[in-house]
Amino acid sequence: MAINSPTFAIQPEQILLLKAALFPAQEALSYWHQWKKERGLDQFIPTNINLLPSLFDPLDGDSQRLMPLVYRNLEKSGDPLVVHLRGIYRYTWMSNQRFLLKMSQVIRVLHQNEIETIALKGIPLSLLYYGDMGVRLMYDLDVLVPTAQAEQALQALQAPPLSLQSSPFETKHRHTLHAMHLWDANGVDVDLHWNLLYEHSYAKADVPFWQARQPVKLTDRQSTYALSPTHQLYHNLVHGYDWSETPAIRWIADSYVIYTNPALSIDWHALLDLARQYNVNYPVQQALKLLESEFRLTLPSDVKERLKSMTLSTAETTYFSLVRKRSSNKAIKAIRYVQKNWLAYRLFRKGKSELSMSRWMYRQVRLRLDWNKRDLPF
Amino acid sequence: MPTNQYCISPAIVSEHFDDEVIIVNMSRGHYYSLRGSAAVVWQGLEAGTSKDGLLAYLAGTYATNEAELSKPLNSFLDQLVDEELVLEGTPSQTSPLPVRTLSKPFTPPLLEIYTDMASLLTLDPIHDVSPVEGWPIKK
Repeated sequence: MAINSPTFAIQPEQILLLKAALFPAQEALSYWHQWKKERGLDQFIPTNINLLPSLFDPLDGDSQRLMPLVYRNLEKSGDPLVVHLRGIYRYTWMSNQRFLLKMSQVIRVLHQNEIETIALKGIPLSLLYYGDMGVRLMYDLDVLVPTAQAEQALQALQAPPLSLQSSPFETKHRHTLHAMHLWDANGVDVDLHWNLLYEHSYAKADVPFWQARQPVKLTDRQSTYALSPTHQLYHNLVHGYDWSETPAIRWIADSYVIYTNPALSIDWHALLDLARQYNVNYPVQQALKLLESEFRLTLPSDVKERLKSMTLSTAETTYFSLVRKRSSNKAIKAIRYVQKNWLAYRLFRKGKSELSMSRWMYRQVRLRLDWNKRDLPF
Repeated sequence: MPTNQYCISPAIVSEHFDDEVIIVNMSRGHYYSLRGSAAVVWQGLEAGTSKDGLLAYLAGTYATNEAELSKPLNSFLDQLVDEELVLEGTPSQTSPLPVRTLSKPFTPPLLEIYTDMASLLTLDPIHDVSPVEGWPIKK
């Protein structure tokens, strides 16, 4: 049975694994033992050629991606199975170094073109919060540029020396998107964002995030910016919610390493102000409740009170429930798509975007009709 | 006059885990693994320890006399210089090393070199690798 949070529907085994990855080592080990028992892994043959596949293959993607963090947390525990995760840690570290190099090249080109940048997601999280490039497996790298410079950034990255490629589908629909995929000759995926969140993709949507950005050093010679800790946490909570129909759990680890860091101070009221300002109260409230109940988030009493008394509009709760709903029935899918985008306009864009409702809906329908022509190589 | 001091090359990045150090030189596309005494030497180099200091540190760690260690240490340091992982010169900072004694016997430090990182990264880290060693050792 899933943990008592229908919104996130996180499975008990995922909770155990997260605790094994995140909690102090001695406690984590007991959660790891429980997790292994649940999965029938408390006994195994170390030389079995299928040991790693039997461990990884039945797992959901996000649980697989937690394994390097489990390894690092329990590497000195003497647990016989943890030893076998060493290779996946090593691989993750090496693979992420490749992304770090590519990120520094991308940042250099953008800066040479006088385009400001904020590194998003995996790289700043690894550098600033995990403090380890081997614990969070990345499949891509993400960089945010000012909305007004999106076209310029796209041109700069597609020109030599980087010569990144793009998808004709995404290029055609880029005015409807908040980001697009670019990739190099080796297939390294560089996601260029011109807005932080899909819901708020319009000019000036990201002003608070740019204003509070903080420096991050990528290499000895290359620096850029990252979101402030409060904004990083906000991004984790909102992005974690709507990333896919399958509840992601990475956002929990990404958030835990921020709010448990004693050197960081989170401005909880500012975070709730953002949730209200951007109409994302629902995912923020749900996420914080889960972190409080399972992952030792201790909120100040006035913040708890404010969270409890947060009023959620019907439009917001309907929108976020639609984000997660899936159907194989084409008619239902079409109705939900229109309803979701109509609500998205009302909640996130009305009065902020220059686009009229009819124009917005037209673009969304065009995007949907073209969806089968989506031509990404990943 | 032989060099007695080294500094870590700014072109590389490294990470310690368990009893291993992994190093990558992105510009050359090479990946290195140091285990056992090699990882102990690397820890000493990161702390800015001189060659004489490294000898004394190894001798203390493995309860072995310095005369036995000198030749393998020199050879290993030469290899690190050849691979441009360290540079001869004065380190910018030094820090104290932890005192420790290992029960394992001393074995000469070894630099494991993987020269084709791009192709290594195409190996599936779950299905193509040794169940014992894991990536990057093939099944």
